Amino acid sequence: MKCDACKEREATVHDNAISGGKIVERHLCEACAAKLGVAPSAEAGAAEAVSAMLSGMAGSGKTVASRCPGCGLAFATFKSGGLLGCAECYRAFEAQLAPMLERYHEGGDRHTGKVPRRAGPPSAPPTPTATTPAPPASPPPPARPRVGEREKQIAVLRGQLAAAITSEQYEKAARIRDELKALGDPNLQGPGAGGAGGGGRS
Amino acid sequence: MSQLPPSPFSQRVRDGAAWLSGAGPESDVVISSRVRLARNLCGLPFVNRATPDDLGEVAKRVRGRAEALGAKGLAGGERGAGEACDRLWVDVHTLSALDRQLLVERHLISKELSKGDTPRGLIVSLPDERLSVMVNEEDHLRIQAVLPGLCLDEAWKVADRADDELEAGLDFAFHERFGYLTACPTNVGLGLRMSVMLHLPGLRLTGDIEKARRAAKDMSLTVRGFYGEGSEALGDLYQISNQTTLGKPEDAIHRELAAEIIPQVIQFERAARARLLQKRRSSLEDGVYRALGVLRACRLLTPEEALSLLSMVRLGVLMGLVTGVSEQAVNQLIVLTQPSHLQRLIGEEMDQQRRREARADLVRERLRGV
Ligand SMILES: [Zn+2]
Ligand SMILES: [Zn+2]
Repeated sequence: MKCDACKEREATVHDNAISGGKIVERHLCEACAAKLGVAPSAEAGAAEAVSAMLSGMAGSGKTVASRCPGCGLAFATFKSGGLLGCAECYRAFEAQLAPMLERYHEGGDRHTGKVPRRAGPPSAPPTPTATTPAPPASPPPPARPRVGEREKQIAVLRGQLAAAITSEQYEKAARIRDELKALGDPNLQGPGAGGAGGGGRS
Repeated sequence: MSQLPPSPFSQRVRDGAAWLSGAGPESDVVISSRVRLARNLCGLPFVNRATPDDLGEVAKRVRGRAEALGAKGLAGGERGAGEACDRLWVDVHTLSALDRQLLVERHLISKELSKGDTPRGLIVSLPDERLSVMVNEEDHLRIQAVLPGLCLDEAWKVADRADDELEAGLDFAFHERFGYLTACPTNVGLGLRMSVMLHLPGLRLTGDIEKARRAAKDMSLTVRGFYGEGSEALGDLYQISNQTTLGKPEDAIHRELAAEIIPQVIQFERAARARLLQKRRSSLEDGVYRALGVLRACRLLTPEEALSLLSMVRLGVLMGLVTGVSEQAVNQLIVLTQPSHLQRLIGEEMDQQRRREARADLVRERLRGV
């Protein structure tokens, strides 16, 4: 699919925008998307780089879904109804949801605070027993990876990192980032990673 | 008139609700404190996309977990040895309309949960009802703790502990960036709503209530009436709660509410009451005694009228203008004058006209002068 804006490059960013009271799907190449402010570009200033790093979107050229593979919910349906359909929706629509959440939660873009305590060895969750051989219900969402200790630690550290950056404690931020790296935080890969202590705009 | 069959709540009705006991800190202004946590199970669609079978599975898992915890587990709290403590599972979809409404009036379930016949449940700690879990409301679980007075820290402990205990046997949907996943993204992150119910008749009488409302809104708090979203502030009762749930830890939200905003509103309300007493004593007394007069003399009473008159009487009791009536008696009438409580109290189903008579009788009896 070609980009709607330049009609030249391949479209890799798929966005739903509200225009004239209707939801309009746009398919853009990375360059046009950046120009139109649909996705943050890798060349953004320090602040954007930090938030891009934190959101793991920097330069990833990630395509965004218009339908959740877990429950089949269309993003447009969510926009009119206001409710997501399953946990998987948050992954499928992450790129579209992130800015909405940030606006609603007044700048809060990342969880900080309580995380599930449960860790490690799965004591198999109760599964439907043979007593009710229920017909397969609506497409079951694919099994999510369990929340392990590492993910929890990452979540906590990311919260601390965001706090350190907001309060301009860059040394502390760098330390936390090293810890995150050691844990293999997937969001720390990519060009945005150097942004935390970095200076001015390029 | 048809006699009502007994229900698990029949005997509890007479005593009203624990959160209206009038105990707890700052109870002259703060009626109750509530903490709610929204949680969803992994691997099953959220309630709005779930089939009845999915919902049955959710109910089965949650109930199984609650039962595995045993009576002592979920209800939590520090209670004296030997004190009875139990929790009850209620299949809400099998209850009569009247009993569902009763749970709504007690604030144990929402209107949303009370409607519909797909599997839905309630876990409630007895006898205190301080902990409850709605199952298959907007989210698979809505864990709630409610205590009288300004007591958000204790309410948090109760809800937090129940969350931990449920979570130890259930997999909650959690995302490393967005936190606890909820059907509505406005709850995502902590899934937390901390709220206090305030009685603000002084601010209404001095005309400052809109100012307080706006100030709260400016601080990104949500202000709602007695029965939640969109409901009017019947009886001068308001709920103030946090709006955002992502990016701030729970202790920051708690601090903002309990240490910053709520104390200010309490001060405003107390100052308004003091001003009324000083500068407009006769009109204040007139309002209070008229309300008491009507409640002690009327023969027909609607729930709305009851609430607004009770508000004035409560103010009068707190300001020492009315003696011989306890704050608790007035508080409990807030819930006892609601339609289902009234019918359970009398023990029969009643039409609207009969309820108005019974409501007037009840209020006259409970507010009888000494
Ligand atoms: Zn283009
Ligand atoms: Zn989904």
